[in-house]
Amino acid sequence: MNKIFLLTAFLFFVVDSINAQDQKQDDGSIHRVSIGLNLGAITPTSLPNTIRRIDAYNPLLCPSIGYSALFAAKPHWWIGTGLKLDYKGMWVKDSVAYFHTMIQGNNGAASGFEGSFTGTNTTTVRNVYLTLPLYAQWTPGKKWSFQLGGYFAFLLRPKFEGHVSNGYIRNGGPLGEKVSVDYAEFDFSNKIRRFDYGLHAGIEKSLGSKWSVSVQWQWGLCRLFPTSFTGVDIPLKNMYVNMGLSYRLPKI
Amino acid sequence: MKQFILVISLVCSLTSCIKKAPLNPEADIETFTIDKTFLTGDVVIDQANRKILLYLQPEAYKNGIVPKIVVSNGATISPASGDSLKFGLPISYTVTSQSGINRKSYDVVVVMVGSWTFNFEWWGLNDPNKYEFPYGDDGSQVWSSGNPGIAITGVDKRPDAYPMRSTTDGYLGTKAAEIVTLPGNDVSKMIGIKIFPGSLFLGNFNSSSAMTNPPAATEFGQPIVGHPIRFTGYYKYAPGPLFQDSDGNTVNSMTDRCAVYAILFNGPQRLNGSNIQTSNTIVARAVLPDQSAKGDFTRFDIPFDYTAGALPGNQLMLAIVASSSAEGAAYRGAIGSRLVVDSLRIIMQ
Repeated sequence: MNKIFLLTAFLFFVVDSINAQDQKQDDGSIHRVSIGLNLGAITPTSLPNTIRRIDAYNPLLCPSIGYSALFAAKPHWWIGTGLKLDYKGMWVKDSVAYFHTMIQGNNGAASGFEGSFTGTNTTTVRNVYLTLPLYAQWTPGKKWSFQLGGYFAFLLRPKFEGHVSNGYIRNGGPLGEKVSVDYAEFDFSNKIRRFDYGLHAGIEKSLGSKWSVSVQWQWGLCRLFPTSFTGVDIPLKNMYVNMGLSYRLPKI
Repeated sequence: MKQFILVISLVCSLTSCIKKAPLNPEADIETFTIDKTFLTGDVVIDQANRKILLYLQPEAYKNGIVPKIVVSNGATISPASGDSLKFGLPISYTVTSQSGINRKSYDVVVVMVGSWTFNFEWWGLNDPNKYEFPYGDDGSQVWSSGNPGIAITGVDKRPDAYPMRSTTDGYLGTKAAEIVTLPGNDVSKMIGIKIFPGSLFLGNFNSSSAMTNPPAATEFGQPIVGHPIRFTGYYKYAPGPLFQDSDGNTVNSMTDRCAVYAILFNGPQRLNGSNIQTSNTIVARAVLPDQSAKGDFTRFDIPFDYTAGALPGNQLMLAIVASSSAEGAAYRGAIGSRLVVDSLRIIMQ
């Protein structure tokens, strides 16, 4: 809750600066297009003890393409925003023990499986978001810039699926009867929240007047699944680093 | 380079925080072993109902037994494995998990089939899954069904959400066993099961293989003493409208059929859905020949057909199996197929 409050306060500050800036000057904007790669994971900030081992991980090819705009606020300070198409995904194979899960049927809340799973889990995630960042940028010299702010994202296309294998479930919980599982598929794509928000932090290095490279951290504060969904009973969040290359558009 | 380090540190921060393994919260009796010569049928650990079911030779019942018990890793059991058991008073085992938090009690039940007449008048209700099961006319609990397996997929907790249940539409008395083929649900579809064929059988349901090898989960047979010659009873049957294959595709040329049969075989190992037709332990069969629709209760009286050369041993077992879809073991059948059986009897020489 505190984080959300701080983020909101920060955004107000940013918007306020834009307003102040509009009255002063109107020609201090920079417009850029960028491409990049997202690397990261959908993960809880701290792994629960039911996750015993990460056996394999692949960040998948998750590109981003976007447009960004910077508005001068005061000497060395800018306000940045834009629109970005972000793929955020991963492939992970992990070993879990006594992992609580509850899978609701589509036919009504009364029906569904609830219990714990021990075994191997393989998950593929590949979500497509439309991201709107808003941040303050500090450019002390010619080369380096530092960004801090937040982002809001709309989910355009979800994908969260996988399978469990080589293990067993227990009906109801640890004391329920044990049922071996060779292979069972799951697809929780349509359970994902339609939006995401979080913190944005970045470092950018200018490579001359047109090109620049950047590393931006997008730290999701919003749970991937609503709390009402208990199929994956841990608070998964988007944790991504974007490595980008930007090209400055000429003045129109 | 900087970017590379950032990414590496991100990945490391995720993988390096694996926490200490939790203490085992499980408290199962995993195996319960007695010398086979003391048994008329293999020991059953009914995990869903927390019972140890024993099928004992009269001598073993009289003198007691010394079981070897294996429990969940790290768990403890009282009384201990290797302690002798005397029968007469109620016996139960308590298992405490390694974590110390969880405790599970198993009641020891000595099962004897005293009467081979089954009128399906008395029914019990499983808690907490709320499926029904019939008691034998002598009060013994010898019947099982696919219901415990379907319970795992989390169907609604009420008797008529399960394929096998009681009905007042009986031939004699007030009740009979109703066996219906139902549609699968979202969880069963995760493991490729599109229908729940109804079944009722003498034996036990072993939940542990319910998802990996469902036919093996239905363990058929109860110990029998004597020489069965005929299998009699009443049934009626209405096949569902659309026969479907295991992928859920309608097969227009097919009509569902019911299956009712009794198999006599040499124990103490039970047969299951994968070998009930083919096992070389089979001594005799009595199979209902007419598997088609019957609007009214129809009597059957089938002689046991003894396999030439098969020798009945001294650990004979008998299975009675009834299903609303004859090919249900392969998940082929019609949703809505309904079989009702009543007054089943094994006639001895």
